[in-house]
Amino acid sequence: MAKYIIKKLILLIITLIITSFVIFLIFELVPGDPVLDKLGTRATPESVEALRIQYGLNRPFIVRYLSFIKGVVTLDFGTSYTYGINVSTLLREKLVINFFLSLISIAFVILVSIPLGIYTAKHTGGFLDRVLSVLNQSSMSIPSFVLGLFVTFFFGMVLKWFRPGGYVSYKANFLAFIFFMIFPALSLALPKIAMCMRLLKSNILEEAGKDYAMSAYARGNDTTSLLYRHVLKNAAMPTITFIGMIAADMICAGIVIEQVFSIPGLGQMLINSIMTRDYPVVEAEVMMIAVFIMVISFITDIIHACLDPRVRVF
Amino acid sequence: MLTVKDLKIEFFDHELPEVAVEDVDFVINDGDILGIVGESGSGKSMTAMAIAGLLNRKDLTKSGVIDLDGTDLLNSKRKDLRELQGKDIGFVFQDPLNSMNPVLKVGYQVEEALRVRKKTLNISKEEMKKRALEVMESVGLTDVERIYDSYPHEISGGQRQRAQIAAALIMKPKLLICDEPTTALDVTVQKKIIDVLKELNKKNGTSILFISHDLSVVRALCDRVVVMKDGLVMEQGSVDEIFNNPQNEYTKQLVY
Repeated sequence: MAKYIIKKLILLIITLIITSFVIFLIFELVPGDPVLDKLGTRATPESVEALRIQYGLNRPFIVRYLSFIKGVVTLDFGTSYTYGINVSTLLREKLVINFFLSLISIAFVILVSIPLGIYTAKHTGGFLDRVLSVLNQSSMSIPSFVLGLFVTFFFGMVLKWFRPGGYVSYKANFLAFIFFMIFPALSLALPKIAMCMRLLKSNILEEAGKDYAMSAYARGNDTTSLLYRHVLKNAAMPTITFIGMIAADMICAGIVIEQVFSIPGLGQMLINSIMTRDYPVVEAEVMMIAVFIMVISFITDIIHACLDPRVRVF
Repeated sequence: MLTVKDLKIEFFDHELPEVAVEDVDFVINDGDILGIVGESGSGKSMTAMAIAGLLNRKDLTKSGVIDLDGTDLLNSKRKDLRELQGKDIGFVFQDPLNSMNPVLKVGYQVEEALRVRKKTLNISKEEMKKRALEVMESVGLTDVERIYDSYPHEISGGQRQRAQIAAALIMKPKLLICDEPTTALDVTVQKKIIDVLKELNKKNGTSILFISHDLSVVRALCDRVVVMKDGLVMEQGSVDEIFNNPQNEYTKQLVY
């Protein structure tokens, strides 16, 4: 097990190095010049040259890449071209927002879809199963930003549980911040809950039809102990992979939902900084997202290995 | 001890009912080894599953009598059936890899019939392990401590099948049902499994219902043979009768 974790960690570091290079290279290749963007019509050859030196853009590609890597390691991404302040300070607040948004969303997915998935698998064809499968179909086919509008309308304007657009900073009031986040998180979670539930249900049913389930029956197990002792551990595997993928996707899906709920999160800033060619910010942000996704897939791998002895071999 | 009479199993998963098994009659006496031979689709596995109480699907109907020492297995409630499953009837499936749960240790699965009755048996963990190791040794497994703590994919096919037999035997059942237990194994391992079953029958007097399409295996192991085709019993008799003096046309084809 320890060997497996070390292997995965080494792999994680290698992927991070490759990803960081690709990210850096892409922003090197895209058209546009941050210096010209910033100076606009006032640009003279001298001022352009001066700003280039100030930003360190006059250095060769590989030197800049290495200093970017140093920044990643020390969490110091330099200064934003647009705002003139330290990128880390700039990003910290956004990261906290998106972290909690994803976290609450994933919590919704896990807490709702797993019990419901188990229940509907156990009572296939029952009343709740039929109702849920219709609801599932519809929530899966509506994109989450539309659901966001619906959630705003229903919870915000009809039930008046929260004030639409009334984002509270976590610095001002943490509980109010979390409470506000519940609603965008719910909009993000709804389609995923449906998918996750369906996946778990079909996996449970599939596993329950396998030979080992039959031989567990033949040893005197009832349906409940068959489900919890035998089937669930096997059936959970694809669902866990899927939840890992969802978690990674949440960060990106959050970018859209932020707009619907007027949350000053990563997404808003990402769009702005791409438009203004604010490379230190963009690179730092994309790198953060990449790290987040990789860490999640690392965690998923570890959970897998804990559940399935066959995974540990590789 | 086991009487099967007029057994009929019908499926309803298509528009017309489909008869899987019809007019099946046979008896297994105490200490007997009965073989059922037939090609795939002959209903032999279906018969075995019905006896083991594993046909609880909604899409089929069963009629007739399956009587195990006075208990009607066909019409018992599921709860009562569960009492018998693993205790009076042990079941060994064809493919030892698929019929063991890949994520649970071998020992856990061998002990399972004990564990599901833990409360009524009032048995400790150590006692369960001791019994599991004993029964694993009795089916010819060596290095049982290691196998007990291994996962199914970590041991060989022959060891898995022995472990399965051990799991079926841990409660010392009256009847052991083996559904093609040697089909997925290579020939040398097949022979060893057959020897284990033979010895088990001789030592403990366990009756065995052995399902196979392999005539040579049935001939080597069984006392009596039932030949099935298309859900019907073609012929039955002692091994001697069936193999040396078959009466039915289909049996003749099989034997010669």
